[in-house]
Amino acid sequence: MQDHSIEPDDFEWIVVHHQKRIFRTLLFLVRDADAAETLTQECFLRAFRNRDRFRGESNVATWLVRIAINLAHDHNRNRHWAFWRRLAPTDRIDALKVPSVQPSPEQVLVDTELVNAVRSAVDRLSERQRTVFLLRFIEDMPLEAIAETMELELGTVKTHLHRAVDAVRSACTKGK
Amino acid sequence: MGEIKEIHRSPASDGENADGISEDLKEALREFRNSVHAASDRPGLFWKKQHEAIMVGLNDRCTPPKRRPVLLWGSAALVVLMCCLFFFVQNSKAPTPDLAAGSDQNLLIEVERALNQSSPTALAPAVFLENEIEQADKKR
Repeated sequence: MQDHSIEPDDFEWIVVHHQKRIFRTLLFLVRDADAAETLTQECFLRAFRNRDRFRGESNVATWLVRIAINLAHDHNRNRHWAFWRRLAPTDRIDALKVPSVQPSPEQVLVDTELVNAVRSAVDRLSERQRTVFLLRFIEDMPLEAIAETMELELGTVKTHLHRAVDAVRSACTKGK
Repeated sequence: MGEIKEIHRSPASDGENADGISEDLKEALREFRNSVHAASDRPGLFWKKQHEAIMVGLNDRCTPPKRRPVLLWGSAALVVLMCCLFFFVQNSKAPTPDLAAGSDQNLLIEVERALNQSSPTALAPAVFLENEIEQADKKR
């Protein structure tokens, strides 16, 4: 049987190659830049600690994203953070502010409104739906990879995605 | 359900139209994706620092923790204390009567007595009977 375990020397390359994606995933899920930064480091440390468990059935990216999702889940479950999020439900999303776009001011306004509508719809999704939405539309992952990453059945992933898209579609329709 | 399957077949970044998502929604999702990517974008220095922080954390976990001299001296002092305590307890024990020696002496006395007897103790009744018979014969 082939040994797929990760050697300590490989880890530097893994960090360089995946840190942006992991940070982006965590920023999207926890909506707090400082927490995302800390959790990104923790994600790699946890991956390193458990590198013997990596058997190569999934690729490294899937494995790291799974760890990041679990960390974000634990973080969001923490009462302290939940309390602060309740106090400031929208301020924390500053980190995800829409960047300026090049076209005309009118087009910028329309695009920004649409993006804001998507964002507010995504904010109202359940944690699982939001994660599926992230992996599908932000990270462009295939459904099978999402199912593997989230350790869910493919049908469950499809259901979550369908609901998420419905919610976003409805928000965009109202926003017009 | 057909629509759902179509939706799942292609992400927002695909250029296809027949995916069940309207062009407007697709455009909104694309913009949203770009905004999320832009929001998580950081200068090179940020990634470099984070990379260094992660590698420092990894190296800390790789190297075994240094033995602390305080812990070492504490352990040595504890061992010495235990030894002193052990010897103190040993020396302060009250003298107990030597029962074994006494029983040996008694046994020796018994052995000497048995050796002095002309016949074994177990045959004493028979000896007594023999004496009686001899005395009776003499009287006759």
